[in-house]
Amino acid sequence: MRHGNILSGAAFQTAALSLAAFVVVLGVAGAAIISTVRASMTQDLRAQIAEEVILFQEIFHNQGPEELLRVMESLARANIPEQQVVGLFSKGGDRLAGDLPLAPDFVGWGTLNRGQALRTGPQAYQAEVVLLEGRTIVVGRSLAPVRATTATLIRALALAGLAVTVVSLLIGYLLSRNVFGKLDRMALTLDAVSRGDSRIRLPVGASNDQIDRVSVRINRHLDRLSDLTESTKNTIIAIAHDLRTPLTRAYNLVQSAGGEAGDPPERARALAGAEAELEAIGGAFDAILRISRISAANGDEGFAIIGAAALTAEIAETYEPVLEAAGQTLVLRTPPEGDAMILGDQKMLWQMLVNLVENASRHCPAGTRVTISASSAAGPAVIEVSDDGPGVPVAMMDKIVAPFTRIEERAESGAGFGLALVRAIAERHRATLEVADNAPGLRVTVRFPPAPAPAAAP
Amino acid sequence: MKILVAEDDDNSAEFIRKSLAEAGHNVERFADGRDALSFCLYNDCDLVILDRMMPGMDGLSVLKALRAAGKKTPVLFLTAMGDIDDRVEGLTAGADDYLVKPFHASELLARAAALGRRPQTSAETTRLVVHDLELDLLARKAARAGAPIELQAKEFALLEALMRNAGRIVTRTMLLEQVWDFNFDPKTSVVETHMSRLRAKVDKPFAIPLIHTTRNAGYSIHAPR
Repeated sequence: MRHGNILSGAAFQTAALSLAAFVVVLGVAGAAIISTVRASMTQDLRAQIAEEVILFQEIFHNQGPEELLRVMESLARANIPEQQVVGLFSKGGDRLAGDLPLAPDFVGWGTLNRGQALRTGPQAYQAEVVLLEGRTIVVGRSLAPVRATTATLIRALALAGLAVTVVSLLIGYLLSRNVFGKLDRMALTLDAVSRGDSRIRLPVGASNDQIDRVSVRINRHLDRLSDLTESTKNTIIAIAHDLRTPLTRAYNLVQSAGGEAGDPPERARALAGAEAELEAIGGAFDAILRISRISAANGDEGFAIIGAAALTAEIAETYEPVLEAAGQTLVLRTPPEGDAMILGDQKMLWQMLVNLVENASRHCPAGTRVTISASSAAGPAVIEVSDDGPGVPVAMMDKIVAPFTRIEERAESGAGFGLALVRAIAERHRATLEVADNAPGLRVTVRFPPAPAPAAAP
Repeated sequence: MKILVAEDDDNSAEFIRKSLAEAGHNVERFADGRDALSFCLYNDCDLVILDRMMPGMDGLSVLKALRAAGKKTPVLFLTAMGDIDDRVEGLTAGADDYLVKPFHASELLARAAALGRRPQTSAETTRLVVHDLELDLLARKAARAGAPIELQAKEFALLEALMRNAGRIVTRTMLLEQVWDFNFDPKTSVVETHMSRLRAKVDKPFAIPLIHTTRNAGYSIHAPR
């Protein structure tokens, strides 16, 4: 893990950005606070100064200039010059009393800097200068407390800013490092997957953050991907296996027909047999291609609203004689009222039912009863094909609808595709396929999602 | 019949040509879609057999161009196995029938024969007659030698498909398409079973059988020859 990557990570950059915003806000707000505090403290000073000036004016008017001079002298003596200064100057600008060596060069409110005070300290004074019948009265108060408060405020704000900066950069770095760690692990895992390790999965932390949730999703995709890879592998093996037998037979038959021995009728029989085997191979190919096309397609294109009972009735009408010829019985159970609707492709659904009925018929002995039933309009459509034949071991029930699984090795080819096609068609219709024990026999249930209400007839 | 075959694969083309020639048809073969189209536009023929995949111009484009030019020559569309969409596309573009590769020669001949004479049996026919067998398409009633025959819906449809093509072979696949509207091949003997039920009603009680089986090909209905 490189630091450059971490510092360019989204988490760290977000932290840095919000930090910059915080610093700007802190600066602006700090300046506002400082100027407000300053203004309010200065205001207090001025109020005190103004009071004192009024007092001096009253002394001057009521008790005369001598008394003012005396009061000023005694005040200047008693004053702590670090805190306040007073001054009384003649018309010519000569000092009559107080701490100030020179008369200020302004009248009204102003600031006296160091050097203008008699016993000068390092500080400046807020001062009011008033002219009184030719005399000049100066009253000043030290600005030191204001400056000290301001400095304290600035120090506090700077310290807070520094602390926040350090902490948020640290948090950003740690978060970014955490995210980077997870992303690095993700990249390593995906690399391993692309190298062909289909079992490896992303680690999912307990924090359930976005990355963990993405990891969960990626894991789900990886699960599906490895399922698909596995099923493709199995499919290819199953197809090869299913086609090998008829291919071998056709090959042998063609060879024996082409051989010199054998009379013409025998040759003709051999060739007819080879043709039948090739037809079986063709049938298997057709089923495989149909399954792959149906699985690859999606959406409702070409779908129509079809009644479940109408579908089952059509198939029952066609297959009742076929099963009878095989010594079996086909029973159609129609719902007492209404017909549940399916949004689907009629020909595909016919094929699904045909495969289910033919499958039941083929794997059951004479005397078996095969029942087709459709649910009533009360809910989503459910179609069931059941028989009272030998059934299937419970452990095998889920497997028989998986592609290319056979309960037992049968000589006939293509038997592995019928139910796989059923499953593909059911999935295409977002229907669930359920295989259960019919005690005795097998029951296959196809549950369709609710069909949208058909548009009102114009 | 004069039949144009547009097929780029020499092996398949030779198989089609030979099968059709043996049945007495006159075959003109092209390997390129464009050549086939220009021949069709300037020469009259009774049937066009078009392969889907061809160099130059694919079968579907040739078919569309033909129909756009106002040519009503019947077209039999050859499609690959499993490509259900191709069949639908072909029929929508104006093909009269389709045949899935690989196919049996008898299947090709039966379909070619049915297409070549298609205009004779129009959809407006309301009554079909073969020898002493009558089929009333409006009243949905069948009668032989004047005696009514009770038929199930599928048996009626089966008999209608045979009688519309009276004298010609109708294959098992054609019956599955026309009677059941199945675009797939059931593993069990659906056609055979229904046909035997139909025969039990139409032929068995009478001295002269009308429905005939041609081995490895299909069924046909015709008066005794």
